[in-house]
Order: sequence, then structure tokens, then C-alpha cells
Amino acid sequence: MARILPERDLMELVREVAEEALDMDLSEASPQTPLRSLGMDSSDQLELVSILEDRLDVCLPDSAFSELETVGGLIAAFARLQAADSAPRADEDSEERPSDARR
Amino acid sequence: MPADDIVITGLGIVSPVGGDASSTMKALLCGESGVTLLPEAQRGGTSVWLCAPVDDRALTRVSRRETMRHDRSVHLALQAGREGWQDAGAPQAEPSRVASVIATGMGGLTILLGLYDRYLVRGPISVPAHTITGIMANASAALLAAEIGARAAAVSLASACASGADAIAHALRLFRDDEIDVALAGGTEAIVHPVTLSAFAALRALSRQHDDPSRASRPFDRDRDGFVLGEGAAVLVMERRRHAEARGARIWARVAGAGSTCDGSHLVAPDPTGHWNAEAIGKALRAAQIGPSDVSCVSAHATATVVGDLAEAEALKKAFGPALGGIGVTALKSSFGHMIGASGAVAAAVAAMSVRDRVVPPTRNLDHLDPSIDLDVIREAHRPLPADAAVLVNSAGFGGHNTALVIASS
Repeated sequence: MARILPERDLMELVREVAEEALDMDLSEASPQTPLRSLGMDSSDQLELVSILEDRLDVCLPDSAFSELETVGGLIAAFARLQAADSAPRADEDSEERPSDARR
Repeated sequence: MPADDIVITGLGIVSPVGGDASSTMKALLCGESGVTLLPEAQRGGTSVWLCAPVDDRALTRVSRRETMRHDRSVHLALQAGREGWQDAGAPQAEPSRVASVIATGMGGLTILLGLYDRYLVRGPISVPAHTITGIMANASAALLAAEIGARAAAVSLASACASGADAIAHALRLFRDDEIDVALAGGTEAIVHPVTLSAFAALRALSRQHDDPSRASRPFDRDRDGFVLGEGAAVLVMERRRHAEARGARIWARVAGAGSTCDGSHLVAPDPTGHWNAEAIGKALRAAQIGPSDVSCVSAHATATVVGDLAEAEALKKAFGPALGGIGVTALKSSFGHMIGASGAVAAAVAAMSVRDRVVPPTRNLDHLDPSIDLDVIREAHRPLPADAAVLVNSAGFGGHNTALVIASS
């Protein structure tokens, strides 16, 4: 079951993961800050996403990767996933996730 | 001195007895041991828990970000590679004439073993994005290539316990083919883990002398019972002499020759006759344009398995003939265990320091030379070398791989 966090706390989680896993300081970053301007290359972004997925127990679909230009885009993508995951589902037992094929 | 000689201008080592090349050499000359017991909490029921780990505090050149992102074998390679590159004075060279050849026997094995525990509990979502780049055996070669700007080649070789020596032999070929002027070449290994210990134990390859860890690794001794699994890395900066001299570089030694063969008989057991190992040694001597009696010392592979040491003694007898009587043999694994894919590179780096400082480290734990092994094994602390010395570094690996290197005075 997904761990639900408000957007403010998501920002805090992103900062925490970037610090722990990427050794990057995001304390000055705003939602408009481009991830690349923080020195985050594509593999850093994938690393960040994979750890956030693990922490929040959600899986980002491949189609969402195009939105990850900025810190705000990253947070919005996860916030949307959480909202979708917390909504009642017809088949609660379904383990299927949109991007399992990616793994 | 021929301008086309290939010389060693930089050395980096991280080993169970030292965090850098000079402290490793000092510890070896003092006859120290890096062998210890895996902490009880990490044993996971394995039947053998002797090991020779690198002290984490030695990894001074590896950032926290790199520690989190890469396998431990990469941490060790970065530590040794950066030390070596700095030791060489970070040579400026045309990038298309620089190579990075960093071997490993087993690659990023432990990062995968660690993740599998998480995978079983949390499923695929727990697998981080750095997993593939963590496992891949060429990660060290690629990262160091990016760092030093090596564009001629970046490759990792695998020939089990001969990998480190094969990396140096491969770099030498790139020089001979006039592909490069500078190379980082070496090996790395970090597989101390209950699963790998159990796996080597299943092959009956490991010592079980847990009661006295520092005396467990006993190459050539009558009471040897297998190797102690170590970890470490060594990286040489190899350079064409004219390139090194043009920039006024300090020269440790020459890589005078290399020779490789394969037993072609068994995946684990060495050919007991030592025939193909002797052929590899002969090739290396011919490449170096020296004869058996020109060799001052042999740095033996000598892992301390019963059959391995016997086969190597036979190989040395065949390769050197009557000249063997005047050649001291040392077995460095008596101090720091068996670093698998790093061991040949570590031995080559130690040999480079030996010929420059004119002193060979001793063999520990040799109380009773195996009566069927007729070698002058160096036990005393400081066996001197002549000014014009050549050390034959012998390596062999599971798969029947044999590689010999000649490291000679510059």
C-alpha cells in the first residue's frame, strides 16, 4: 500500500533522498528549479526516482519521465500517483502496475 | 634505454595490510598479516569465516556519493586508480592514446547479493537504478577512463585469479601495437561475503585454520590447507618511456614482458605438471629478452591450496631449470590472502617497488617447507635485490589461465 504524503512533505522527502543517495544539497531548490541545473544527470534522476518509488511504494510509469524537468514536476508526478493509488479500486488485489515491464 | 620501453610511472594499492602503496609495502616488509575473522553478525552460517578485508577508513579518495552508487570492487579500484594517477603526476596525454584496463575476477557480485535480500522482502520496486551499473564488471575501467580522459580503450578482462596480471599484459599489447602512450592498468576485487566464502569452501579451496587467523595463509608450507579470501585493488600507470621522460616523470620500473597460456584441461584444478604455466613464464622471459638466470626473484601466485602450490613449484622448476636454485621466491598471499582478480596487479605493483627499493618482502607462516617443494622461499625480512633486477610475477586462475609478467629495473 502506498505511503501518502502531502506535497510539502514530498519536497522534504526528495531533499532527504537527494542528500542521502546522491550527496546533493537541494535546500535552495524551488519547485521551478530544473533538475539538470542541480547537476543531476539522467542516471541521477533514475536513481532518485527508483528510491522514491521504493519509499512511497508506487511505480512511476515511463510516460511520466518526460515531466521530470524540474523539482516541482518530480513532486507533482509522485503526488498524482499517490492520489491515484489512494482512490478506491475495483480490483484491490490487482498487483499489476503500469510500468512493471520496465523492470 | 630504448625509448619504446614501457615503464611504470605511478602506483596505487589498497590492500588488507595498507591503504596505499607505500603502507602496503611497509607492512609486507614487516611481515604483517591482514587476515582476520568475519564479524560474527556477518557470517550467516558460513562454515569458513577467515578473510582479509580492506579497512573502510582506507577509502579516502572515494566520495560518499560513489560509495552509495557503486559496488565495493569499484570503490577499491577508484581508490587505487586515483592514487596511481596522482603518483604519476596526472600525465597529460592525447586522449586517443590513453587506455584504462581494469580487471576483476567476479565484478559487482556483492552489490547484487545485498539487493536480493531486499528484493525478497520488498519486491522489484526496491531495486535501485544503480543496480546494473553496479554489477557490470567494466564499471571500474569505464569510470577511471572518464576521469583521466582515456579514449583509446576502456576494458575489463576476466581470467579469475589471473585477471589483474592479464590487465597489465593486455595494456602491454596495446603499447606494442602502438595504440597508446599511457595506460591505467590493474585489477580489483571485493567479494568477501558469506555466499562467496561458502562457494569457495564448497570447492575445498579455503583454509579453515580459524584458531589463529594471522597464521592461516601458509603458502608452500607443509600444513597449508587452502587460501584466505582477501579483497583489494592495485593500479599501475604504464607509460612509454619517451613519453615519461619528456615530462620528467619519476620511473618506478619497467614492464619488460608478459606471457600468457591456458592449461586447457580443467575449470578449477591446475595442470599438475605445470607445463603451460611454465610456457607462460618462458613467453614472458622471451618478451623481456632475458634468460632464466637473469631473474632475481619470483613473486609466486602461491595461494596456499595444496594442489595449486605443488603445480606452481613444478612450473617454476620447468621454466627456470637449474637457474631456479639461485632465485628467491616470495609468496605475498601469506600476508594479505588472495585478492582474486586484483592479486596479479598487486603483486606487479609490489614488484615495481621491490626493484626500485631493491628489497623483496618475505613469506609469512612458512614453518615447514613442504618436502615435495624444492624452492628457495624467502623468509627473512629484507632479501636484497641487485641494482639490475628482474622480478617474475606469476599468476594463475580458475579456468587454467596462466600469466607471467617481468617487472625489471628501469
